[in-house]
Amino acid sequence: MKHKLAKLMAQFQIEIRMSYRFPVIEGLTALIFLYPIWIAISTWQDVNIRPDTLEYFVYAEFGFSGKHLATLMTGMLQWLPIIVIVLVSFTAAKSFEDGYIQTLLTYPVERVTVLLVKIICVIVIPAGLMTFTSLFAILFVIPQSPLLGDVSIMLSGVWISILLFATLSMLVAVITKKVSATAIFGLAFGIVTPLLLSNTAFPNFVRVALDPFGAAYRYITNHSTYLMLGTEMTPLFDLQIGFGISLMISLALLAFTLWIFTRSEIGG
Amino acid sequence: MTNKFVVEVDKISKNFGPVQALDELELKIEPGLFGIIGPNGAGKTTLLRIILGLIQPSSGSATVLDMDISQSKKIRERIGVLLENPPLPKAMGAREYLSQVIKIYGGNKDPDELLELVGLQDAPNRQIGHLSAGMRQRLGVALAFAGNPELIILDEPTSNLDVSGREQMLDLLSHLYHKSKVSIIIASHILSELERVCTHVAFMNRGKNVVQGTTNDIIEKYALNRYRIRCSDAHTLTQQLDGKFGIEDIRLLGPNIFSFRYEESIDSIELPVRQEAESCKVQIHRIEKTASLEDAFREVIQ
Repeated sequence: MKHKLAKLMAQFQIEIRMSYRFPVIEGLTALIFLYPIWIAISTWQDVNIRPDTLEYFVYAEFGFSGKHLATLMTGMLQWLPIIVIVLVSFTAAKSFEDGYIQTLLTYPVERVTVLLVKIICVIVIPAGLMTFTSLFAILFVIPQSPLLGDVSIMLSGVWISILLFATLSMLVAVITKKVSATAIFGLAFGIVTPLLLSNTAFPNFVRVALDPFGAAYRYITNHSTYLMLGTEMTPLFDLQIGFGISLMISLALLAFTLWIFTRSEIGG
Repeated sequence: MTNKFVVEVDKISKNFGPVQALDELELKIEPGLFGIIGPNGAGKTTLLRIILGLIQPSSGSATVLDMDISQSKKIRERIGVLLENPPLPKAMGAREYLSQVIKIYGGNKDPDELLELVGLQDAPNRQIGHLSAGMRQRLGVALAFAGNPELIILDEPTSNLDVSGREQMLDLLSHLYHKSKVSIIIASHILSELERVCTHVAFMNRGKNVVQGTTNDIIEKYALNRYRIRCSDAHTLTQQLDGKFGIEDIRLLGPNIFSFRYEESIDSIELPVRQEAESCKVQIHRIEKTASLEDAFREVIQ
């Protein structure tokens, strides 16, 4: 057991040192840490509204949670798919392209473990950083605003979205074994899907399943401000079902990717 | 190990689309320093990849250290491998990477000792990306010894190295073999190198094992009656000697050197050969019996 753990840790060490070398992890951290600063700047005025004004009353009644979390999420919305796709291209597709995966598979390691280590690094590091910085932002910049439910929906959206993006991009990386193909497909999916799903003709749970973070963003925005904006709100039940479906799609993609990888020819 | 062979390949074929890389290959590799020789495209690397479980054979079977190749992970626990120009994590230090690979093998070897063994004791913290090609190959050899291997597989270990780097690598392999007594399989297309270090060799061509045996036996059998002449103009002299004195199979090896086969002792024709050379104003520097693996290979392949 101890030996297996040491072996696994060694694989993680190599993976992290290979894929998250300077300036990848530093750039990623800097990018994600910009959010709190951005939020601080954009929400400072709202947070400091004088309590005796009508504006304060409206925000206090309906707006703080959604408005501030939405600001936080807007930044993530733009970067999340790009970060994950870049990481998958770096960790998986690049090692296929430069042949390191072949070197790795000459050591006594299981193929399943090799791919799982890569996927875990791609999911846990950005999602962990985003979770940490979001909580950091909430704690220090907008501590009085968010509702616990909203925070939970936001973080679920982050993790499920990253899982979906990562497993889908990993599948493309394993099939094509090309950095360019992985990056192009991933970016196309990340950009085109939300645009397509903005069409309300799609059932809510489909929109949530394929774009969980976008759905979480829409839900939190509308849930807190619908009285003022009068816009349509995603029902919470659809959000929950959609998240569940998204999770199942990700797990199915992961299983399929592992199945393909264990049977694929390396360097043949 | 009950089998006297470290690797046994039984009628393995491998097709990549219309290309047949291995054609019912049969090969039995005895313990020792074994060379697999063949031109580019002969199927050497494909064979090694099948042995390592990186690709599957289209048909046939093989065992490594008495284990079927389907038990790929168990095989890899007992062998060490150096692939051709292996990509390694450039941002990691040599010692750092070696330490992690030792952990993957579950061993408790000292990385510093391994680095010393391959002559990298002065560069333990240097990033792999900053190592020279020769140093990287040496690190590759250290990585192959990271576990407790019973067999080492090296694919073109001297490719990408300059002349002195090749010499050093061959000396290192020979030294490691004699020190550890771990069997080593070297796949290469550079015959002179394998002749220098290998006790046994197999010639591969077009996916088949054409001939195999001890290096000395093969040279004895296929290259015994070959001679080499160094002269001022090999092209002219080969034309002059063609079909004369029972000289056969003349091969131009360079502007000043050619080889030929002659079944009798060279003494009987040395004088007439020199006279022929004089008549066409070519100066002979040396006539020597060659009997190299390269000659044997040419003999067998042709």
